[in-house]
Amino acid sequence: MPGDIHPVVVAFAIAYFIVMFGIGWASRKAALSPSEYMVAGRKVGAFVNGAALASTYLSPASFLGLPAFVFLLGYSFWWAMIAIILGMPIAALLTAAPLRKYAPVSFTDYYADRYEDEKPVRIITSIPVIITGILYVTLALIGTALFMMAILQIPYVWSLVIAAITVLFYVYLGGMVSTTWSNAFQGVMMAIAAVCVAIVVLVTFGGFNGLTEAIATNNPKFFLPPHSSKGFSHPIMAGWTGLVSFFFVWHYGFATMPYTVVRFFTTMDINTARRSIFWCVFLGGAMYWGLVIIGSAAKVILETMHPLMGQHGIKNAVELLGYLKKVYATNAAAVTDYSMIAATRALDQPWLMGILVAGGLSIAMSTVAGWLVVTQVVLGRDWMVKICNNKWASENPIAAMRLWNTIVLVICFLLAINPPGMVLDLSGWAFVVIIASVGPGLILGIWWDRATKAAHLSTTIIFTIATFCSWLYARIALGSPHWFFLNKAFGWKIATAHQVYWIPVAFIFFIIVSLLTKPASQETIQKYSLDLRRD
Amino acid sequence: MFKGMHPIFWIGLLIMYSLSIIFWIWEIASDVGTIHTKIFGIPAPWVYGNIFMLYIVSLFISWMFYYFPAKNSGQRKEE
Repeated sequence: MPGDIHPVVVAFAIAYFIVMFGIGWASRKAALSPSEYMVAGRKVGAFVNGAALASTYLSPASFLGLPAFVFLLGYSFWWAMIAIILGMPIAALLTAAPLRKYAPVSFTDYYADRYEDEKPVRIITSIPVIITGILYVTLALIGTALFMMAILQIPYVWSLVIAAITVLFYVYLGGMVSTTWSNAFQGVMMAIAAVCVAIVVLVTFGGFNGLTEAIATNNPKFFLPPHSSKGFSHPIMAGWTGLVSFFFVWHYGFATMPYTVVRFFTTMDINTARRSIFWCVFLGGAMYWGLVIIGSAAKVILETMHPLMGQHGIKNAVELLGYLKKVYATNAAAVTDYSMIAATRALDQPWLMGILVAGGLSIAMSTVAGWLVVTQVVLGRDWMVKICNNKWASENPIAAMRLWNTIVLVICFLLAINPPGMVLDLSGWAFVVIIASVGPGLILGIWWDRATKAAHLSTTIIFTIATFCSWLYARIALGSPHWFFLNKAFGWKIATAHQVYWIPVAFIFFIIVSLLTKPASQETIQKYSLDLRRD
Repeated sequence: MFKGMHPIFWIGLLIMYSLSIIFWIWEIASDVGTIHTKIFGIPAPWVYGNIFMLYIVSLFISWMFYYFPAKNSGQRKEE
C-alpha cells in the first residue's frame, strides 16, 4: 500500500542504519591485524557470540519463508521450526568445542589438515561453500530489500543498493570484529521484533484459546495431523514422511554450516564456545516462539483485519498477497513471502511495524555479513594464498579479503535483481547441499579415526551433484522440491522435504569409502581427531 | 566412532528425539490432532510444541551441554 508510511517506522529504520554504520566505523581498527579481521582476535564472549550466532544462522528465510510455510503447510510445519532450535545444542559438543580447540582461521583449514592435503582438498571443499555462500548472500540481500520495499516503500532495486552498501561498509572496514558486534545487536533486535509481534497477535485474539479458535474457524484443516481421516492441511503433509523430513532439513545445519562454524573460532575458549550456544538458543528460541504464532495466525489476520480485504476484488489471503506482489512489481519472492509483513501491517500499530523493520533488516543483513566473512576468507586467503600462491594476497591479506567481499557482494547484487525461486526453497536446498557434501568429512573427521581423504573428496563431489540434480528434477518435473525425485518411476507419492534423505545416504557412503581406502597417518589422526575430542 | 564423546551428549539426544517421537505418535494417533486437549487451560500444541519442545527442552539441553563438560574439565584441572 504505497503512500501510508508512518514517521515512527522511518525513525526505527534510520536508528537501525545509524547503529550499523556506527559499529562499522568504530571497529575499523580491526583492519590493522589479520587475526582481528578474520577471527575477531579469538576474544568474543559467550553472550555476544551467542547473539551473533542466532542472527547469522537464522536468515531472512526465518522471517519471510517460515511463517509463509506455516501458512501454506499448516500445523505440521511447526515441527520443522522446533527442530531448527532443538538442533542448535547438538553443535556444542559435536563441532563447537573440538573446532575451537583446533582454532583454525578458515572453514577449509580443518579439512586440509585432517586429510593431509593442501590443494585438492581445499578446492573441492570450498566449491559447495562458495556456491552456498553466493546463494545465501543473494537470498539475504533479497530479504533485506523486501523488508525495505514492503515497509519503507523504497523501490526494490534501490532497497538492494542500500542493503549492499550498508553491509559492505561495515564488513569491509571491520571484518569479523564489526560482523560480530553488528550481528550481536541484530540477534537481540530480531528476537524482540518477533516476540513483540507475537504478543500483539495473542492480545488481539484474546490469548491462545481465542487464537486457536480463530485459526480453526478460518481454516478447519490447519491443525490436522498426517494420516487424519478428515483430510490434510497440505498434500505434502498428508503422510508422516512430510512431517519427519521437514524436521530434519535444517536440524543439523547449525553444527555444519560454514557461517556458524566459523563463529566458534572467534570465542575466547572452549567453554565460551559451548556456553554461547545457550544464549543462541535463548534468543533464537524466543524469536521462533513468536514466528510460530505469527505464521499460524497470518491467514486469519489477513482475511479479517487487513484494510485491503474486500477491495479490488480481493476475497482471501492468497489473493491479497498476490495483489501486494503486483503492487511491489518484483519477482524476487513468492506471494506468501509477504505474509508476515502484511499480517503485521494489518495489526495497525506503527511502533510494531517500526520494530519489525529493524528486526527484519537485522536478520537479513546479519546473514549477508556472516556469509561474506566466510567467502572472503575462502577466496582471499584459501584460494589466493594457499591454492594459487599469489604473492600480492600473501603480502596484503586484508586487501585480498576486501577485494573478494566486494566482488562477491556485486555478483550477489546482480543475481538478486531477478532471482530464481522462492526464498525458503533456496535456503532449504543450500542446507541439504552443505550437510550432505562437507558435513560427513567434518563430523566424522573429528569423531572417527578411520575417516579418509578419498571418502571426503568423493562424498563432497557426488553429493553436491546428487542433491542439486534431484532437487531440481523434483521441483521442475514433480512441481515441488519436496517430493521424492523418483516418485514417477515407482508410481507413488512420498514427501521428502528438499531431498533431505541425501544426508544419511551421504554419511553411509562416507563410512563405506573410508573403510575401503587408506586412512591418514597416525600422527595426523592423533592431532586432528583424538586430541580435539578432549577439553 | 564417537569415542571420547561426553555421555551427556547421548542423554541430550535421547531426551530430544524420544520426546519428539512421543508427541508425533500422539498427534498421528489422535486423527483430528491434539488441539482439543488442553494443558494448563490452553490447547495442547501451544504448550508441548511451541513452548516446551521449542524453548524449554532446547534451553535445557544447551545448558546441559555446557554445564557438565565444563564441570568435568574443572574437576580434572583440580585433580
